Amino acid sequence: MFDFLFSGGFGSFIVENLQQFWSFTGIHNATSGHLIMIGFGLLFLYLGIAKKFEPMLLVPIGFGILIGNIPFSPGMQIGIYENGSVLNYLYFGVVQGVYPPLIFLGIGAMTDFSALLSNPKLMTIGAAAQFGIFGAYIAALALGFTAAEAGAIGIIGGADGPTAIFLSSKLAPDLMGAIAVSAYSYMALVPVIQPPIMKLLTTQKERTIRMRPPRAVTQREKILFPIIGLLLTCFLVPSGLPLLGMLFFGNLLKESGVTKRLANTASNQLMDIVTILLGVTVGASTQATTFLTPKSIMIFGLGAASFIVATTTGVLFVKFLNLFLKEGNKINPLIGNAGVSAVPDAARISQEVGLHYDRSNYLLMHAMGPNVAGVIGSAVAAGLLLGFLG
Amino acid sequence: MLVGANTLSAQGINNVKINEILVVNQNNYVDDYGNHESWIELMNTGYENVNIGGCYLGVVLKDGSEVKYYIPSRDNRMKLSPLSYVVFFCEGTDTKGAFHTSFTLDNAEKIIFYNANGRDVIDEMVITAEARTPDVSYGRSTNAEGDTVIGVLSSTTPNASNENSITTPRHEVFRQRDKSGIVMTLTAMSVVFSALLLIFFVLKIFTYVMNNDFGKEKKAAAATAAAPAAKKATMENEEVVAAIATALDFYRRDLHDREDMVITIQHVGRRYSPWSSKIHGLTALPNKK
Repeated sequence: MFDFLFSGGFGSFIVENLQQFWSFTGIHNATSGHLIMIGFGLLFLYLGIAKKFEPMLLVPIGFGILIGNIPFSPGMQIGIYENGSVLNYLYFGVVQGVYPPLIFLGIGAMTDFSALLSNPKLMTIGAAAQFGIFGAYIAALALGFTAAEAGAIGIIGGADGPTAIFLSSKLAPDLMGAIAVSAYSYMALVPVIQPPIMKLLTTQKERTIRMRPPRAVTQREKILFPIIGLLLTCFLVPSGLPLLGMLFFGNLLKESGVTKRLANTASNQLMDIVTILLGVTVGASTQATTFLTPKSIMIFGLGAASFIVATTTGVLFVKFLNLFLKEGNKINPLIGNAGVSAVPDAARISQEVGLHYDRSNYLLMHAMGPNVAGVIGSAVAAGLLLGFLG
Repeated sequence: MLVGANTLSAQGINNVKINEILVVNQNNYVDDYGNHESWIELMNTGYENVNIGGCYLGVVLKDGSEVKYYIPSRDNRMKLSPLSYVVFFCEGTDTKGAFHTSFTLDNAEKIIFYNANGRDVIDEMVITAEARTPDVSYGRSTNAEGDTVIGVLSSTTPNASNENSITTPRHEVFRQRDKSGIVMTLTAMSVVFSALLLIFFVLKIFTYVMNNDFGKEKKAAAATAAAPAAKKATMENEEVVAAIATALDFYRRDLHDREDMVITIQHVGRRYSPWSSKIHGLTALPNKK
């Protein structure tokens, strides 16, 4: 009855078509690398959804990893690295460093610098924690990376995803996927990495130091801060302009009081849109073929080391500062970890560890000072690296 | 938009430089007609697209007279992308196309590139005796100190950079001088500390200036005495507001079921802006409550 189907080559044509279709499928093109990366993507989704580790970052990145690692035969203009594909267009914002300054605009519009303004000496903690960047830079050079690659890897220690993406897109575009994923992974793992170091480096007495409540900051100070901050930092390090310019601009929108609508857009809708695009495209950029290399593993190792160094130097620097401060003015070293710019997670860790040792010692507002100083510090450090190595 | 495009072009035109010239061309670069003509190379040294169409390329002759060639404005090839080059052949004809000037360099003493008004000089290059060496080009190059110098070039490079040596990337040069990364660490950390300390000191000064009355204390005291209730400290007011809000919240909780919530206190103010003015009828004023 169905003989006609297989007569005259008709059947073989169908079989040939099916074989061709099979060659297009992800199942046919899958490699062990794809499966490993999909495993990473699922792990990110698990950590983000079930464990609630930075879900805003890990869920888009995790899903992006799945998108980027669906196997396909090249040339169909669907891959993120294929010119003309939709994903490639979206990835343009990462490659050209468009998204990070927009994220910084939103961060600026969300950040309250009052804690820093009320106690400006906390700013130095934000500077001390940047040792993590240069510790990783030295280690990366020792491992044989070029100076540009080492600079891009080192910035992971700044604990600032947008800054890491911005700098790596300029200095080492081929390592950007690994650097971005590493930076965001460690930012999400701040609650795991930092507390043991903080406990190890402090005594019981130091952990229970009570700091003076911050003074009230006037509106005029809040308005002047972004203007002064921009002029001082960018005159010193002009290469940090894209990040610092947008950070301080966003903050001025918030504090001026007359551009509430713009500040709301920058800190909500715009920030959300850019976070989605950034997260998904960074995740999708981790295609197994470009991502699973020995270099990526080294980058993950160096990233962990840089976070540890940054936390250590932040805490130790507070202890050093305390040597010169009078009783009553001393700083709780548990806020030293907040010098890395993972805002506000690092500050939350200070609060939680502080409360563990003294149920009525609230360190959050104090920790926000070095935390936001860390944002400025890491952007300045990124500008310097770009200036020297770019 | 057109105005914007013109402005961009007008700004970028100053980045166009006379980069290289070959005055006596005997056996060197040939034009598209297969002839050996003297030529002038212009370079867009900037980082934006520039349209040189409408500008003038001219020469000052030995007798002091000047000849100008109008660069066709409606020619897409005159749009120079960043760090790109264009070569004009100088054979004194108007019939061979846009890249062939109406003057020659035989009796020229100086080459000038003019703005679109034909008067403002953007760049100029004097034709020295050594520039007249046959088949040797003359132009801009970078010396060991990194400065731009004008002189005889080691090779002719029409439509290409005059720097024909292999340059080591900056980061590699830096690495060779700082193999361990210690210098970078010390330099960068000093700058990061300096930047943040600078903000710290400036903020301290500003805070001091703003919080100091500089002799106005008496006036302020008098004013406070006249209206004591109106001049309470900001912090105190904020605490009172927070206390009232919390009390209201406790009261409202008794009226409703228990819900997860966070109390936020938002200052509501009406600020005039022509963008939101009712008179202009654009948008309604926000926060009417």
